[in-house]
Amino acid sequence: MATVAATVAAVAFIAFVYYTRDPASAAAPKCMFRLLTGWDCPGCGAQRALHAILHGRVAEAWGYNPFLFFAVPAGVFFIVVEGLRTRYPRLHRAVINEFTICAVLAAVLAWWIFRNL
Amino acid sequence: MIMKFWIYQDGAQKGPFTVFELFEKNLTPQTPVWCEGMDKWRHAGEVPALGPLLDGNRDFYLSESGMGEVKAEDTNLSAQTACETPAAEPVAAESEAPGVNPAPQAAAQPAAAVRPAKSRPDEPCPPTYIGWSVFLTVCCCSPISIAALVCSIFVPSYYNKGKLDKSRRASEIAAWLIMIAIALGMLPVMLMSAIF
Repeated sequence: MATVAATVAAVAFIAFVYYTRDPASAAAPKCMFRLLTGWDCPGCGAQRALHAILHGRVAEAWGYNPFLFFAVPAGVFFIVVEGLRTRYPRLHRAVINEFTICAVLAAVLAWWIFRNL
Repeated sequence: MIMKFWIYQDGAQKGPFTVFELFEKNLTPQTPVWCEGMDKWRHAGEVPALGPLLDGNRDFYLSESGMGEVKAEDTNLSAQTACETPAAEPVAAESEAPGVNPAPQAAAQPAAAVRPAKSRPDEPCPPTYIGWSVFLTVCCCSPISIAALVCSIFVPSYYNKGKLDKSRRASEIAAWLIMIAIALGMLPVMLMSAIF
């Protein structure tokens, strides 16, 4: 219960911050990887995409970082499955194993390379 | 949260059971038992929370916490008290691990048959934190979360080979990498919200 409350509070706080502030401004935090190398990281564009989504501009968000639309639901799904692993051990075994983690890793790396081509 | 117990009985591991289901399993004080929160398998007689069970006192669990619930604190208590006992005691308990025959010929048997509870504990796989890693690849600090993902591959991999210690270690390293990534990635966001 406390976990759920904390999660809701954190999501609401982040949503508020990104609704009211424009990440395109100069003061917004910049990706360290991009500053150092000049290449995009897998998450680059996520702040602008979040800002756009919160203002109802889904297509614009997709343009900033389409990977976000898969990674966020997948992340939530994995966290929930792992949190309930004692209650649903078979589901946990089916969803979280070496192969799925390798697949996720491969997907992230492929997206990272692809977006910098 | 309802505690689920695993037991080792008749040459096999069984579980998860609620404490009420355990009443039908004819546990003795020597039956090896494990539940989440316990550092290792212990004899049922060593777990304070199972005392009333061994006495056949079903009413205790009904009155104490309703709905067949055993509080996590009770089993944690057992782990703590076990730590305070002299070092020789746990070693002795270990040598009496399920199915171990103290006679010399025990060594000739296949390891899996001799010490099943140790070689392949029926304990849930340690967390891989893969969901957090996936989140962090798009939030912040991708290189660190990639490292966390690589670490988490080893968690189920070692677990399936029965190497629970290494699996736990990989899980811990993944957790640390994720915390570092959050610290490096989220702090700027907090600063941003304060400054501009």
